[in-house]
Amino acid sequence: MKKDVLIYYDLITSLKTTLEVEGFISEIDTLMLTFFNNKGKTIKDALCLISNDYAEKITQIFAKNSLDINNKDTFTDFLKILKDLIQKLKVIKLILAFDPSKKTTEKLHSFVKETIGIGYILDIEVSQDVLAGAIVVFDGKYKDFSLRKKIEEAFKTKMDLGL
Amino acid sequence: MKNFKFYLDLTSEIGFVEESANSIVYVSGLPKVKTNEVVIFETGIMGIALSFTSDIVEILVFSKDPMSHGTKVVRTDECLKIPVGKELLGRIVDPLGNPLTAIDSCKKPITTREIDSLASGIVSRKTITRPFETGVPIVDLIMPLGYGQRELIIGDRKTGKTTFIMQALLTQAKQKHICVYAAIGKRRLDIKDAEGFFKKNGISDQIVTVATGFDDPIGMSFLVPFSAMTICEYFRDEGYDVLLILDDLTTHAKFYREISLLGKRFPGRNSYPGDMFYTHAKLLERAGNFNTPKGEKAITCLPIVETIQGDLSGYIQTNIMSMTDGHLYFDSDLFAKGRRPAVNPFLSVTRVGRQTQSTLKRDINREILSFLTISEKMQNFSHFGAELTESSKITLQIGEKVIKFLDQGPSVSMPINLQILLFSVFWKNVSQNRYIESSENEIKKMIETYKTNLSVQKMIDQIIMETKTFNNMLGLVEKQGEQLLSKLKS
Repeated sequence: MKKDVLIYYDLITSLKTTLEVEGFISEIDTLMLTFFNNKGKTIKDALCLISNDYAEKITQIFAKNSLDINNKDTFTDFLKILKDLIQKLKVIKLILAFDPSKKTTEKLHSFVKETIGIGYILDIEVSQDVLAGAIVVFDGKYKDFSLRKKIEEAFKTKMDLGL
Repeated sequence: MKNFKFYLDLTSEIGFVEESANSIVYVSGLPKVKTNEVVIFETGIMGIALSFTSDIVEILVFSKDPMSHGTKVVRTDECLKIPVGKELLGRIVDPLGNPLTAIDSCKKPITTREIDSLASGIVSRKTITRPFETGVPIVDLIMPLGYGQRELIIGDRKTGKTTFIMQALLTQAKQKHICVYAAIGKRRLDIKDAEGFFKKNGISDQIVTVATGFDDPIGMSFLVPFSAMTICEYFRDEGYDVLLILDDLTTHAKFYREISLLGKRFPGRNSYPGDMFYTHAKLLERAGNFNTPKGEKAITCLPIVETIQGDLSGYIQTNIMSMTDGHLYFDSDLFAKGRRPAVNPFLSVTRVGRQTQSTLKRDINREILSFLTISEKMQNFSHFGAELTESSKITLQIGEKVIKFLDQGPSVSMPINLQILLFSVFWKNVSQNRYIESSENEIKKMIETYKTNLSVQKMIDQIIMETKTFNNMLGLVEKQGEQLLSKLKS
């Protein structure tokens, strides 16, 4: 099994949010459990059990890197390494006032990728309390860029001035 | 302390609970946290950071409420501080300074002080020179203490340690010194009893009680002695001599062991952590006799340690023995024989107490100790069934009488000068083969007269101050003893 992490690049960069990561990890677990419970099952049969999108991506990676998709050992090792790498992704928590569309999420993720690089996923929480803007929590740091805070600060300044 | 949101805005750092084990919580985030820094959970619970790795912070929480995964935490950039002030006098507080009794609704002190401060350096310390009065003859005459001394009170459970402590507290509080009683993980009934004793004797306005019950969070019980010491340091700096009772350090060590084991630290002897000695030494080092801007002031510390079946060689017992300036051993055998207090003078030590004594007191001390040694030896010898000579029998009889003289009931506090006078009278009578036993009521009456009749008190104090040796004292008692006694009994 090739241990070059670059072969996982496409798959990993396609994951943008914690929801996607959770979904993909459960698909990996399904594949691994299938081999464990039913040793006679072929890989193609197993790939039918997961979503078409992920099954296609996995098949493409094997084809692109000239790996034998019918070799169960190679396939299991591939899944294990993939799962480890996914679990190491760092989470950026965003608290937004609205539920972002897929397009907005993609935009946000590509901004993160361009600014700080790959290996980051977004954990988006919707809270209408923030009114607008966002609260960013990353690596123990907490930054409040919300409209609510701006309004609170404005009120506080006015109260301090006795207006 | 401000709330969670305030500190979140202030520090712009956040953490999330990852794991919880009783009072220890593991948190991710908080990149700039420091050890001993206070943290606040979004539920309002407080804690302190014990240690950290690159990605996890270990926090000791001061609550028994269950902690859920993902709970937010913020750091405060502050070390743990407690409110200190004269408002604390007469109150029972927890180690964070919150009142424990419902009637304590009066205002909280404004001044705060760090709980974990460094002990004063050598420059600000002074030699112990002032005698400390406990009001208990066997201690004041045989095992004297000095202001600023750290004397360990050690013995099995139910041997009268607390009774002695209460007598010492009573004596000190009556002399208008500040007393701090630290009850670590005690039964609530015991705390209530102590409070009742203080109130009954009218000394509660001189005493601060820092207490936790046995069912309180372990983090809180761990803080009790440090918190009590901080209060003592405040009063010392305010110009008071302070007496601190730590009841008891074996329980404290057990709480610290629990915290360390939950924190996955490597266990050492008897499963106690490796820094057990350091923790107690750091605490006791803060007591002593100090040179302050308000003069020579002392924190006298009496830590209590419990033994099991009289075993003095236990880990915590030997640790604290080596940190203190001596120990008073409460012997369960002596207690069973009816001795009160059951202090064993042969197994007790006072390292700095004797240097505070006047020549007269030192003479008396030597006289009693040497006599008791002889008497004890003879008593051991008589166990073999050997036929005793007449002189040996007399020595044994006198020994018994001396021990009886040194016995004292609970809640009785005898002033040191009265102890000297009564012992001199007793010794003179013994030497003349006379023995007049005073009843407990008579002794109480004499103490009362001494305390209330200022002319009698002044006369006795004058006599004792002017007398240099025990022989002179005996001579004086020969002439004026009867007269003084009748004055005291009147």
